[in-house]
Amino acid sequence: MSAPKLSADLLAVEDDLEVINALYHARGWTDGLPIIPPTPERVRRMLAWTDRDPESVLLAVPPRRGEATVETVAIAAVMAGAPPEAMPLLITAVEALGDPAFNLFGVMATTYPSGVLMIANGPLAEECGMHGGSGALGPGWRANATIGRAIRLLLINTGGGEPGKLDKSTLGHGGRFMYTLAENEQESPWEPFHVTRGLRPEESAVTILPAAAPHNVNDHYSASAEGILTMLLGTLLSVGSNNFFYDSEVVVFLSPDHAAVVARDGWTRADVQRAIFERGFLPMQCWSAENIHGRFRDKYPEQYATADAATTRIPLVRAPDRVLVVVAGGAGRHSATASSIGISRAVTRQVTRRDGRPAYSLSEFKPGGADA
Amino acid sequence: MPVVLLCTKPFAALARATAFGLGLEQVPMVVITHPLAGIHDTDVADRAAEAYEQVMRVLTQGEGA
Repeated sequence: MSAPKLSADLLAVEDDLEVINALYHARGWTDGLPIIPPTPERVRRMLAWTDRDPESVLLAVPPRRGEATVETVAIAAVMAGAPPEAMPLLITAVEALGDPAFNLFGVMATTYPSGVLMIANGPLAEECGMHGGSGALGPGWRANATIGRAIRLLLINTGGGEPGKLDKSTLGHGGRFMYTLAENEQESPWEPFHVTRGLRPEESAVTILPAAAPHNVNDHYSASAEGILTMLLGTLLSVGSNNFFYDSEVVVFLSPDHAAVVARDGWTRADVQRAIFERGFLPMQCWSAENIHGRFRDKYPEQYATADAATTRIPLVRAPDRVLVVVAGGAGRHSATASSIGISRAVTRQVTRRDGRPAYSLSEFKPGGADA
Repeated sequence: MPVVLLCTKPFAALARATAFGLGLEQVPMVVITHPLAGIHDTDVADRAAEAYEQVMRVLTQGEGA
């Protein structure tokens, strides 16, 4: 296969890592961490792991609406230090960003601290080294760290989302560097998460959602599904959560230890979703007087204009499927929850080949492979 | 229809970039004092007065930020 033709402008710069990084940082092209220089050779090595044309446009990234092409994804992947075999998942995630339901413009323009949470499922996630076990959202897992970082670098460099300038997230959080993990399918008592989103176990997928930082659920004592649900709800029901104000999803990262207890009592994932939906309320009086008016009475007068703040219940989510239950993490009695931006919906996208057929193995993208 | 893009100062660069990205680089923009949310009624009146003067100038004289 001949080397793919590249379209990006070439930059002549002294062959010194520190000089290159100083230049990239000064131009606002980094996330503040050092980058791997995206030389043509490195970009081509990245492109060797996709069957897409480099010039294929995946989406226009707001607010500047710069084009994210397969080539610019490869450049971001190189800069992030991603393994080349991560390209199929990364391209799938970028395609998902373009789904109108994700509302990338809102995500890019908001003051909300939204990291692009990406949950990977299926054989390709495992094959490219994504991790769903111990410390999955923390340091140490190259594919997790670099795929998430590549997404952020792409948003910065094609959309113009330079933090503090066009990216107006008030405080941000660590998940805005990377917020990427696989589901711990091996230790889950239930079907893989992507199956609940309409796919088959042997298929691979990424699900993305703009999410706030995870909120820990320390529960060393509950020995029942009911007990763990009580602790999850107590953590989810926080007045600062956007989910009370909009119709969107919350995420429950259920640790394998907690999931085992819940499943031991005969609960399915759907039971957890339904219970959180049915019991997830706060009385309106939990919010400040100004918020009661601004968020509820003035916005939804038919429901709340004259409602009694002490007895009126405000729902966390509008339907059971708004609760995304993902088994993640390693040994230990810590789960976590995350609220979402609210004005976006979670998007699940299957990893496919260029012709739209599902990809069942990373070998289908392997450079020089029979089908590559 | 005459349009004026109104925003507070910290969001001016984002507003301009968004307009440019949408091909609306000529849209007139008026920048007012931040913040707009969570202020008292008297401050809302001040913001409105501040905006009114500039908006009228843009609409009648074509001078935007």
